[in-house]
Amino acid sequence: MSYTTPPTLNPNLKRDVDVMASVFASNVDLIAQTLANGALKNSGVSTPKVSVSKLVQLLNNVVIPVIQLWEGAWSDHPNDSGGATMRGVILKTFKETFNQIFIDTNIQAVKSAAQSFNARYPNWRKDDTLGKQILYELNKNERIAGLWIILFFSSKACRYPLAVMTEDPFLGFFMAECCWATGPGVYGPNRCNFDQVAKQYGWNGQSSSFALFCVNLGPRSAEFASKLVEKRVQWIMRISAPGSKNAVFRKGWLNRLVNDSKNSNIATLIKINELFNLNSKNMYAFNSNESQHLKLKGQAYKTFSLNIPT
Amino acid sequence: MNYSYEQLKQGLESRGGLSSVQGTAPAASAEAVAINIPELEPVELPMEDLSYTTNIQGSQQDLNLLLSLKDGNGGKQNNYGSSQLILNSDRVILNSRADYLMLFGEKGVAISSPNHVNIDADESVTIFGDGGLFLGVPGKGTLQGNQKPPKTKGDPTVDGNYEPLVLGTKLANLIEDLLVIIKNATILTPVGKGYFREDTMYELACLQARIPEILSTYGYIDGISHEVPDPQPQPPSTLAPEETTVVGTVVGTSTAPTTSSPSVPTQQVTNPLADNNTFFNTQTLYNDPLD
Repeated sequence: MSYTTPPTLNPNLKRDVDVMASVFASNVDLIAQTLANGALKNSGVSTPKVSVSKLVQLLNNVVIPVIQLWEGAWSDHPNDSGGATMRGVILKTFKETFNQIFIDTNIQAVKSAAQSFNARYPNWRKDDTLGKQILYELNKNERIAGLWIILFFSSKACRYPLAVMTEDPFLGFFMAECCWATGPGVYGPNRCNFDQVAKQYGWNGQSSSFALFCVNLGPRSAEFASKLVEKRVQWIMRISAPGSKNAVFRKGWLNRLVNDSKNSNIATLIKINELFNLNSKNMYAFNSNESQHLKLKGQAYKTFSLNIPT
Repeated sequence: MNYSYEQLKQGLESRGGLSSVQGTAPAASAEAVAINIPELEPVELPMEDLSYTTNIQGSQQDLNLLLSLKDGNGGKQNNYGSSQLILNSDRVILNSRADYLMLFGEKGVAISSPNHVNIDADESVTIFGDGGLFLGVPGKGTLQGNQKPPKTKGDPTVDGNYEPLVLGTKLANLIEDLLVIIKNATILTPVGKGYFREDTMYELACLQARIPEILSTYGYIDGISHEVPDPQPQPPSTLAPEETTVVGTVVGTSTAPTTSSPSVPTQQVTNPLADNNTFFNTQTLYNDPLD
């Protein structure tokens, strides 16, 4: 049996998970916005320049499909320390945050469905076989699996990238993407050292104020984002030199960061700037303030330039 | 090299990345990649899968994954991230006609087979590890039939992952010394020194004669690297008095030990608690007349 072979559920469990999933699916936007509003409140960004509902729309349209594409669907590789994974959500995270997403958001129908399921399967977090089956079945729905990405974008550990998106959607996305791939240590000196760049732009060194610092960057945020991308390219090249233990990962890392012309972080930058900031396909119903802010942001990114050492 | 926004946008548009907002599978080839960071190109290996999984540290691993070979166009692609040489054939023979055959590996050398591995030599085989010689992977071997390793560890000595080997000559000497001490032992009795009878001495001598049998004439291990003995205990400062001399005359008669069955008391055995009101009368076991 391959590690990509999905688990098999007995009919009763499948029915129960599917019933719960149908309740979640019909409320997925509401859950996402509740999570996002929490991030905004906790980050101290009181007056977002772009509304949370539009950012959730951007996440659903552009960001989440790209992340899910890179993460793949089901994997339960014995050598993967994360263990069973469905659409980028590992079993451990799934168990730990299930209640946070579906109960703590306090949306009545969702809460009831989750509580009923927990009562019916009180040991599902202790039984990994059962946990894997539930993870697979529930996250077959891409929108539901996307809630974990939104939770990630709303997390304090990543310094509230969703709040940063209210000022600069790409900068917030890029912060979250790097945290997703490398962990929150991405900011520190042992990883990409984004903190060093931020200090050059006037950050006070307090991680709790990082999101607010990014929001206050204003027109400089596009330039700041480009510095972060270059910093990450340099870091990947440094730690994946031929012969090193990470050499095998270099191609994949570079593809995801810059080399894949359609789904890399850089390609996503263009998508976000063209489709969201400049709203070139009229996909989003922005109000005049949002349009004005994003238009300026879109023009700033037109000057984006990536300097790669050869 | 500098990549401008317009260049990046053209790269995305040429792949149709702006016409559909949904992510699609990453391109397998790099022909339309806008950015060209120097990378290690995949090497296509038009060959069949390596044929088996191998047991490493007690767990089965797919050789294809182990060698960083992934499915590519028409065969396998080298995702190792550096150069690697793979010989994959129905049979592979390496033969050195006049001098040594040498295998060296910076990180290690792995020799594996799903069946058997034989190392033969007309003269001798020496296995040396600077950090020690370990045989087996603890608790990982497949045992015969349904036999399972014990779940509870040993008592009173808790199992360790590895235990030291025993040195044959030293063990033989130890057993021999033990037997000599037993044979020469002085046993104090109320009427003086005692010794083993001749037949017991004979048995001990037979045991002593079997000691060389435990020493292999074929397999040897390093005889220098071993633990040191514990400190010797202090010898006794005083010894028991020399033999006691009993002087006198014993008067009386003796009879040979009886070989008949012991006599059974005639009176009935009653339970001393039978008169107690709180005594709980149980069913007697094996028809034993308790009351």
